[in-house]
Amino acid sequence: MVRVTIQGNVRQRGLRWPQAPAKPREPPGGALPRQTNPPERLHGKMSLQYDAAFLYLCVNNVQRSVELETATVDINIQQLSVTYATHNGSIPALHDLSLTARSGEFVAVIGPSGCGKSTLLRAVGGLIPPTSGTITVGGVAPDTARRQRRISFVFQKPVLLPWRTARQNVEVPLQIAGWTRSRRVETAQRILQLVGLEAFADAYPHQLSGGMQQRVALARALVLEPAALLLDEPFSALDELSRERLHVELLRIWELTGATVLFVTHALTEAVFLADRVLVLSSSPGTIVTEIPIKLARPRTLALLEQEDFLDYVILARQALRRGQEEAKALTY
Amino acid sequence: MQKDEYRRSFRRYSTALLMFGAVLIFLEWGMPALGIPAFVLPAPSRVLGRMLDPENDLLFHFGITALEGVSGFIVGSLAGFVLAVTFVHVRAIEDALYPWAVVLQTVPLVAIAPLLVIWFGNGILARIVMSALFTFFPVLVNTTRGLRRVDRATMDLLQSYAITRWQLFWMLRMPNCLPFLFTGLKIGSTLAIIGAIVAQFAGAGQGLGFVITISTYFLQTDRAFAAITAAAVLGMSMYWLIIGLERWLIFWEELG
Repeated sequence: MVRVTIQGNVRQRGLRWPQAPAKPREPPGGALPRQTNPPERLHGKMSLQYDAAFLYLCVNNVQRSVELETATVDINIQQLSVTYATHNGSIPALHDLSLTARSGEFVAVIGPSGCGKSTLLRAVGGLIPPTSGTITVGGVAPDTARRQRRISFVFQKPVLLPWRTARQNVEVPLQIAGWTRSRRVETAQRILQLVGLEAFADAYPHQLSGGMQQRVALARALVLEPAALLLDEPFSALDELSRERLHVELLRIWELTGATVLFVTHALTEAVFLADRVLVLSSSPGTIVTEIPIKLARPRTLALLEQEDFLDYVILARQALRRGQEEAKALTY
Repeated sequence: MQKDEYRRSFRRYSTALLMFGAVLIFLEWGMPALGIPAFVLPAPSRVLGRMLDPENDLLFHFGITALEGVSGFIVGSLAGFVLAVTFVHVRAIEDALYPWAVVLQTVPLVAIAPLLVIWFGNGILARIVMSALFTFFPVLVNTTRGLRRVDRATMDLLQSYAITRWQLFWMLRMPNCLPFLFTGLKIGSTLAIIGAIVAQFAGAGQGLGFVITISTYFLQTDRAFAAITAAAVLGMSMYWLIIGLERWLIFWEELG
């Protein structure tokens, strides 16, 4: 274990160390730190000893809150429309949709089934071209970002290759990117550790539970350190308990990686629990009805699920969702 | 666990085995008792005697048929596989040839056996071509289907990492089509032996097909049955070889 000593004058008013987690959280690729509780405020002359891993966590957390304020826009969608051509004419999936996600932000998009949520992600991921409007991811077109491998998907199904072990599945993006075998193995192993599956590296998908499979999919999505993480109802096929566990897990990992997340779901509580901002989509053709900033403190724990301010947000989102549906109905009838 | 499984499958197949035994007993003692002559249906003991009789050279003819059948199988399945891969990658070729492949499949290949003798001579080549033709179509059709049938989400996922066609082929299409390929190979393996024997009917001087033609000509039914049994053994061992290979290669299907 690496120990880092900070010594000297630290002067930064108003900047707090994040609370030391009650239950120590796992740092990237390292053993658990056993650190002394950090002081509330950083100033004056002091000498502290931290594990490198813990410091990484702290710095990352502080940076995030500062960064989000000033962050550049990472995903920018302006007046996006997507229509599918079928033999019965063209079907509009998305209509005049605009949204932005800042770098490192967690944005959830909720909407009823069939409102074009998946279409939205596929367009942002460069898998389908927009019919009109513009999308940029990290300043470039989605297709360019895809070619640079700066985008990662997690789908509703884990879509693992059944003939590959968990680790080999995580290696898939690295292999496509042309990494050498030894680097691949090493990196995949580290990421599996991050999602808590290092003991199952050599297990085949059919030997893993649904939740574990989805964690492998998450590890695979993270392995190339993408700038944008596109999650398409990733936990909707799981049971309630595994889902909640994975929510916490996802937040922990996301806080470590600092990726911009676009999370599409039809579950209200999930959206509110995870996101910095919840966007409500109306149904067919999908367009954004409301935006709800979720000002709940991070790191968020499962205890939050029973707190009043959390529930208020859920109610708010539910009302917005219903309003969106009614508006859509009014348009069609 | 393993032992238990064996016991269970033994119990399951025990009635079939009993049935087989009953048929053998009937053929051995029932038929003569009913006064049916041996040239119609010979007793199993006589067939076995013929099989072991070195004068019949059954092993030699077995070897010839095996050589022709296996070579035809290898050539036919390779050709079918390569063409299937071409189909999936070059649309124009598929559009031009696939309908033909489907139509040709319905042509009774047995009928062209005499023609093959005209085209390729009365040697081993005509037999290999026949057996290859029999193998070719099921392998082609099944492999094409397997290469095409890839999960859309998996495709999306791999495409989101800008995968090249070459990588896509080896990473997804190839392993994905293995179960389909083996379905084709299983059908092809038995057809390859049938193809070789049918081709031997059309005037060969050696092989199990030749033995069957000659011995029925002389009413040596027991000798014909010996050759038929040998052919069945050959076909079955090919089939089981393929199944064994399949189980070893496609470990994820059975368990998943």
